[in-house]
Amino acid sequence: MRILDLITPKDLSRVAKLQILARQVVEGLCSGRHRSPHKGFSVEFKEHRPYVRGDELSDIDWKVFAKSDRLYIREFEEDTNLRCTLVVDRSGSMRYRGERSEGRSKYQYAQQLAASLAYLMLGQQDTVGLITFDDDLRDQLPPRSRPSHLQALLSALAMDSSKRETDLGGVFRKIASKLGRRGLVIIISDAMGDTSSISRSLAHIRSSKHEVLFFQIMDPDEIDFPFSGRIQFRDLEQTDNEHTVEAVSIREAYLKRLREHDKKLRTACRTNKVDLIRMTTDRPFADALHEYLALRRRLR
Amino acid sequence: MTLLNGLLAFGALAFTIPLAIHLLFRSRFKTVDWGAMHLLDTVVRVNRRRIQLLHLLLLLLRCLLPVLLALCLARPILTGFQTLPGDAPQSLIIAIDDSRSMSARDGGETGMSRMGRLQQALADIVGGLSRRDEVILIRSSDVESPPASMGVQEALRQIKTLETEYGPVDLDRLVRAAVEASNDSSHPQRRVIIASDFQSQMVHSGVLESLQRMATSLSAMAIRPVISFLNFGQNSEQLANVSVDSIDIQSPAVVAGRNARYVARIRSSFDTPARDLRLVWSVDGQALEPRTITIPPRSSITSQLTRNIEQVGVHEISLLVEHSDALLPDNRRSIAVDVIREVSVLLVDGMPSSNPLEGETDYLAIALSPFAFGGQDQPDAVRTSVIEPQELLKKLDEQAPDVIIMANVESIEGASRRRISEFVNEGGSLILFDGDQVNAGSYNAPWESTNTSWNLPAQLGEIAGEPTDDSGQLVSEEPPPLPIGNANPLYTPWNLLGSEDQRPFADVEIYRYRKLTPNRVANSKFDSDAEGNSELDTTSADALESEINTVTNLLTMANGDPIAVSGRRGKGRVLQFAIPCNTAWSSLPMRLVYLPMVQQLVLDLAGSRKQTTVDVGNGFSVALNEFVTTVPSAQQKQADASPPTQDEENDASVTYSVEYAGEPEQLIESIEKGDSELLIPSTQVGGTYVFRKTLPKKEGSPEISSTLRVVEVPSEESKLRDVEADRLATAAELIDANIYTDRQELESDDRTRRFGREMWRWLLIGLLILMIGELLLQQRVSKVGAA
Repeated sequence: MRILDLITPKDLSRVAKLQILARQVVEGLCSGRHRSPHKGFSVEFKEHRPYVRGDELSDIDWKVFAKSDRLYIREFEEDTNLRCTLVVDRSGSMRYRGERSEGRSKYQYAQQLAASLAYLMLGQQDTVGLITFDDDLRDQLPPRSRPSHLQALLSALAMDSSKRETDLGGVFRKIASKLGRRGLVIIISDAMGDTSSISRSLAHIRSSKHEVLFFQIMDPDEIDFPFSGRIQFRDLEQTDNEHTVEAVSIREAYLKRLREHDKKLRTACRTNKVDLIRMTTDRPFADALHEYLALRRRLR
Repeated sequence: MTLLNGLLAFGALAFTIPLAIHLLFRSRFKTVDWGAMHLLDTVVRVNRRRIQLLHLLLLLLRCLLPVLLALCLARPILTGFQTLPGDAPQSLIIAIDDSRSMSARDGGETGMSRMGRLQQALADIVGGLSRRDEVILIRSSDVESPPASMGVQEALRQIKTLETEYGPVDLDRLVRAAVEASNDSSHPQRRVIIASDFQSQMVHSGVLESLQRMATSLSAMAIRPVISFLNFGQNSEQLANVSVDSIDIQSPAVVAGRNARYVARIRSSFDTPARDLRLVWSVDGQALEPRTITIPPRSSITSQLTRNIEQVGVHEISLLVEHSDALLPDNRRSIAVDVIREVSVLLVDGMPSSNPLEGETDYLAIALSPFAFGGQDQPDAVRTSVIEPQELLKKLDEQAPDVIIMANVESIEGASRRRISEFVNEGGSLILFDGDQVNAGSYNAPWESTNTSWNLPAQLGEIAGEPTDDSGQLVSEEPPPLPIGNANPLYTPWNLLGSEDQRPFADVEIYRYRKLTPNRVANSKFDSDAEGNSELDTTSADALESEINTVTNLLTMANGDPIAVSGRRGKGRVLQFAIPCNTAWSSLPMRLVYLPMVQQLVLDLAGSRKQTTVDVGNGFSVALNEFVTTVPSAQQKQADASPPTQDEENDASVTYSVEYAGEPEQLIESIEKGDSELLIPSTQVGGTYVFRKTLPKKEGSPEISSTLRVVEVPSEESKLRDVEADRLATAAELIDANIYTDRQELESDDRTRRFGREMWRWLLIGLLILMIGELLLQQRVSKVGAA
């Protein structure tokens, strides 16, 4: 599996140029573009501060003590690398492929987006991990910064989507326990689930100080429900669930239901300080990603 | 229910098209593998039942559309309202109000009268009948005549010739006549149309009671007609009208050659002053000098005419108001006046004297013929002859007086008494003046003639006010005058003496008078078969006769004792005074009131009893001896005095004719030999009726004499006022009638009744509603759950 199997060269070149700058300082094993909140053994001096009990004696700046007869501690600012975990939904609902999405299903779109992000971050020597899930956790790759790690990520992403149904709330709670140290969690899902459960799970993740980005992947058909005539809707997650209806007669009701769902999801994200970005599969994901990163840059 | 275009009803089968489309599309659907079933599940679960219902409803509507369209084209008719087969011949009874108010022009700019609109509407209704239908026309002016059935063409012709010269008619009479006519009609399908302007006088409370009674008989009828009121009168109160409401003669009698006064009342219902109205009085069609008047808004004025008519006979006095208003015919009104020659009065003097003013009747003779007494050329209205009681029989043989006045005559007995009794019975008038010679017992006895007997209006009693001393002996000293009371204001001649407030008799001093006791039962039929005893006949006819034998107090003393009483006896009248006609007991002859009083009394008694002006609808009679040739009154008098020649009496070729209301002169053929009068039992149109008597002469042109009568429409017809809607509705409800103001409405209802009710309009409306409903429902279906 190569990165070019998932992303076109054009998209890849655009992604390579992107600069991901986390809004908050994250911990990292190696120096990078991301500032670390940890003070200590870095090369760049930050400031002196008065000694308090409990400080390491080795941190005391004895030269200052010699001059001023007061104990000061030397503090340094150090760049750390980003620890990012990509959480990708591969449930049955992600298999929907509308006519306007250039033959891409939502899952394919999510694959490409995740691969792009992984490539970008690994290019910055950030550590990137991957978790895929449907009704339960499936593939779990711990964060690594080695370039060869990209291959493992792509291999995991290349796995086909399942026909299982999603339980976002339950899965997110499990993911939270697997994430370890705080870092950036990027969730890529269509968020088709109980929003209150999702909200609780996001809160759980956020309680571990993780920065969370939520890419909601939607097909244009799911947003404007363009169907007409008599349609049999078959559930992609459950084989025995189907409805044959006059599409026109339920369009308004569906759109209303969608608006309510969106509203609840936005509320859940806003409450938990999670950035929610809706991506439709008819848009080039690189464009959308670019816009998002530009937004993050402005917020910095 | 029947269908006019039954084949088109098969188009209703087109309902299968939407049904087939529905079923076909139900089995054909597109499959979509859907991801966001999390959202769709809820939507479908919540709205499934409603969507199914809406779809079923939509299917139903779509199936109904072709069904309704097909029914609409098939023109269904509901026959539940049909009483008889629609093509059955019918009898149409039309009762038409041809009263004068139907002439009111309320047609707005068209200027059409109500009758014009009525004619138009009836022509349309009758014109729509088939040749098998029959029509019965009843006019309110001819409601008593037996109804005649006619065909459509004849009915149309008669409707065109309708006139509006009749008086008020009661609604119940019209309805009753129409319902009775319907009983005699030929066809079982019977309709009654009452066409009128329904004025307030037409539906009074008595009418409602009568209709209520009629409702019972209507419900008992084997074939009950369908009654409809077709109302042509609306907004009558807004119509401005000027009318001559009445013309009255102020004089008690109109004597040839003497002035008489006529008063007309003119009313305006304009809301603004009616200015510059030209009033034209005319006598026998000869217009007099016009006058210009102004009538204040909604009020009446009077106009007076004083006119001297030289010729004896019946003359027409009319007044025309030249003004354009809503009701033109009532701008003219006429009366017929019977101008009599001078009145002949026989004065029977009970105590004659050769000295001036000492005779019993001297004052009376002067008062009755003042111009002759004064030596003036002006003719007197009264010609008097003074005789003594013993000359009475002889004088009565010589001349026929109009009035006999007996002054202080002691008693009348024997042949004279019988002669006077007959004189009164046959229409003569008798005035009795009291006096000291009068024998009360003789006067109080019944006055008998050949076949009747009557008593005086009052029994003569004692003389009141006799100057006596304490022992009852007469004394020579004159006592103070007794106070006089009031004159009866209802007695017409008194009105000309002055108003009641002026008390014309106030200065009359009465010293003595006879006690008069009014005789309430004064007349009895003389029964010669029952041993000469008279007895009271209590049959109804005699009861009616006794009604006219009433006694009226004309003048009383302050204590209520009558001074003058009057009563009808036989065809004549008797007037009794409790005082003499000279100055013996009172100062009356010396007072100013005496002369006009005596004149008016005599003129009233001798005046015409002819009914020369009658309301339309009523009948009248014309005495054959009334016809006069157009010769001066003096010659006429002479002619009257001379007995008719044998030739004239026996001439069987005498013909009588009448001409009225613009109709051609009609020969009266109902007259038979021996008849004394022409009888017109009823009148149907107002106007002047001129009667002519043609007496052929052996030589030269025939001698034509004429007289006239005026038939007038009562002034109520000029007061345009619609009946209250509630009252009319009540009247209609009582007899299950429907009220229409539009001919088309009436015909539409009739069609419904005869043929059933056409449904296509309602179906078309239903179709349109369904189409709109289908559109709305479709919109609704697409918005399920959006609210």
